[in-house]
Amino acid sequence: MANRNVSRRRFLRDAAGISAGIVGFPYIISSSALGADGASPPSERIVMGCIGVGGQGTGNMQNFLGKRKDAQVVAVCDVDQRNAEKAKRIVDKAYGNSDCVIYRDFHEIIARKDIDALSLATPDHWHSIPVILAAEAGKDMYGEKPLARTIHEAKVMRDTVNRYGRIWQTGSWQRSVANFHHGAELVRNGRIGKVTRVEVGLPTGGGSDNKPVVPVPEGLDWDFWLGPAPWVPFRGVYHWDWRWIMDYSGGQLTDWAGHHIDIAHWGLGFDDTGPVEIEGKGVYPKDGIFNVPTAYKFTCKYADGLEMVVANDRQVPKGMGTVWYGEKGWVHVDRGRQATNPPELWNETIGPNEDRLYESRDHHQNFLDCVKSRKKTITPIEVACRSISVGLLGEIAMLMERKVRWDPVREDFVNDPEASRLLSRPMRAPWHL
Amino acid sequence: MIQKNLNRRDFIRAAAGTAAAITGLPYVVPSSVFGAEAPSNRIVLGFIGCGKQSQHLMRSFLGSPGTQVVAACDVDKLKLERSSKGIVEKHYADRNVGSYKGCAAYADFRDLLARNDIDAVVISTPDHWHAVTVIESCKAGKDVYCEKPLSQTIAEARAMVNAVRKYNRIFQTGSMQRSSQEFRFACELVRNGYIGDIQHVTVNVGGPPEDKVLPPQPVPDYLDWDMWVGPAMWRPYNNDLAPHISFDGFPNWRYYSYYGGGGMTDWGAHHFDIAQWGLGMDGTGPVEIIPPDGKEYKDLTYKYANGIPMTHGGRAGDARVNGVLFEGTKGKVEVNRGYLKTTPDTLKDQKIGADQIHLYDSKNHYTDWLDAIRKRSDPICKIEIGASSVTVCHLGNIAYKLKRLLKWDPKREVFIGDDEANRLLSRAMRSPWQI
Repeated sequence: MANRNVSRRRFLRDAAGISAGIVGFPYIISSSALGADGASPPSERIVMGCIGVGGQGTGNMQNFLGKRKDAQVVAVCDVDQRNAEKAKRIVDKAYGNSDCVIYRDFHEIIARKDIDALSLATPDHWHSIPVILAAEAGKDMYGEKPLARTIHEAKVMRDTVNRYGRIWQTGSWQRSVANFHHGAELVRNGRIGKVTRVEVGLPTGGGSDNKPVVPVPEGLDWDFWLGPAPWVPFRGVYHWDWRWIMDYSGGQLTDWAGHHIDIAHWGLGFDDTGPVEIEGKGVYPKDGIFNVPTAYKFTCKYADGLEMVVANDRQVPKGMGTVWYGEKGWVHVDRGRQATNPPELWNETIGPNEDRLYESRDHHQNFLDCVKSRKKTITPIEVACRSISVGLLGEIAMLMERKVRWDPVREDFVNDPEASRLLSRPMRAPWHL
Repeated sequence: MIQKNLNRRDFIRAAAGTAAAITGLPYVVPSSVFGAEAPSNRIVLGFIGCGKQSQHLMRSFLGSPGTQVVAACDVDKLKLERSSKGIVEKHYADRNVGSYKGCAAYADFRDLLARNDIDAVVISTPDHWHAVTVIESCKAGKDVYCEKPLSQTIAEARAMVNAVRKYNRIFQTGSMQRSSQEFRFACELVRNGYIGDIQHVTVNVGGPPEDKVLPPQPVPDYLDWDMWVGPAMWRPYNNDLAPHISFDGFPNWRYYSYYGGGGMTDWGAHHFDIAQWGLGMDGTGPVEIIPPDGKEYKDLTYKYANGIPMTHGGRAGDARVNGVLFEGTKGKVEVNRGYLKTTPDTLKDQKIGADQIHLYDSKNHYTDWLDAIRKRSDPICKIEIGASSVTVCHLGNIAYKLKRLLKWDPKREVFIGDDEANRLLSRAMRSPWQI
């Protein structure tokens, strides 16, 4: 499918040349089309659509709007008309026109042949279906973490994106930040010796709440918002609070698994594997409609004996972030801070012949660059699949209240059909993978 | 599968005859071998679900002549043992039935269904398990008594009807009010025009279920929670859903939408069922469902194609309706269990004439099914009736959910022009379960 884009661009160039040549009169083309205002010619720009333009989706969209040279956003899609209209206003303002097209149904944006790439930021229960359909339609994708609501969905997404040769970037942007990169490189290159234990601190949260059924706001397609999730009446749970209900999300744990667990795996070189035993305990709301754990702590054992503890920040000594403990010291990285033991360890540099990790300092730019080069991004989909799997395995182990054994090669539980059934969730008709 | 039973019984008789003829000597056969209690005439029963309701059913069937209970199944080990040992085996031991070989206890209903000696099953699982167990029982050639409400969704009810007919099974829905004198008489009064043209029906049952999610609790070691959840949405265990054996009430799973349909289906499968009977609407249903709007429609209102409205709740002034109230141009009939009030009062003593409409007369819901099995005929509450009655209940729940007028095509069983409502006709089943 890489060829498709190339030939489309070549076609545009060739066609412009031919028509000018043949007709032989001054054909008027807008200056921006030829690269004024810092933009490159349309043939060089990646044409993008944005599916899900709430808080995170709009943030990603604005990032792409800022990359005039490489990207042009032409369409936005949301099941909430107000979100979509707000996003269109932002796009139109950025380009000084009124060209951005609004869609409610993501099928329509995927069906547009002129769109090369998509930015996706729907609630978690809506991750897998659009990604799979978009991959089949030949779109490259920047998709938000956590990759999927279930491990089964994550696997199908990974297999489909790779089968269709799509470029994929996960919104696990910490990999494109210097201190996470350096911390992971220190660990990878043995600066703390053999790693024996990892602690991952994620936000505490969720809480409990009870909300009455209220009328669906004008412009919101509630049935579509629910999509494959079980039908429930509208209680004002959307745009943010969906994260506290298991039908849509696993809570802070799965939200942040795609950040700090992802970084932990990076430092360990575990991007293509997973734990073999998982056991833990969650504290769940006693009442109300929210049902994800408010506090959680679980331990993953890996095949080499390494233990990784994942917990909400109040249950790990160093709070938020990733800490690798090795025989010779430890490294702690978090947003905007880092610490090591011994302290001077942080100042060590990694030499050119050492194990260098993929370097990106702009997560969105890295995606656009890869769309053009057809190379892997810094967080390809197979990595995201392994990162979210740890969070989802923890969720399952806590719900089952017993140790579960995982086969990271087969990506299934070991002789445990009860646990295996929790790898997927039934989808409400007419939705399916 | 009719053939199976006949063959088996014929075979035993024929074999006995042949043996006697060939050997030519007076082959002594105990008298109990022939007659109603003869093993060849006994209906061999298995019980799927050993909770609160099944205890009542077990005692009823154990007390019915011509049955033998040989197996029970539950995902709760304590309840399973209470039934298999505490009720069934004790029953036969108390009666010194020496030949009784014991009641087998199964954790998985598929093991029970695999037994060829079992003719029929009595199903009293939570609602979300009805469709799968009924359909699998039909495929296994068993006749079925299944508790009301028939199903968890409208699509399941249709699939169950299809399975019963495809495999030629005798099926009784547990809406046992149809086998009660007062309900039949009330419906006969209505059907024969004693209250004139019907103007309004009121049905007083509980409301729709809650979507509330219960906090997880440790799964007790006696319970297979994964199997309890079965085809439904997986939710963490909570004892409100599957209480300990020491709790002697009807458990609350029915009030949570993942596992039941609330009072609407629980009691609706009784009282809406009677309303449908009185109206002569078995096998069909209303064409419009209007949720309460606080104005013209204070209560959820169904409308039938003939224009008759039926409301859910307490119309008829301030007093709550006791059960089902039929109001006509010439009088009223209000009926509930052991309660019948008519206007005029004299209607209560009305005799239904020989040439008037007489409804199916069953004096006992359980023996009616057993008799139907012997005759290979439909019992009083055949599957189509259970299906159309539960559909009325589900239609109400869907209208409460969506809070808008729904137009229903009872023949095609689809909502007209409402994709969202049509999506609520079925539910996704959790793997590996399907219908």
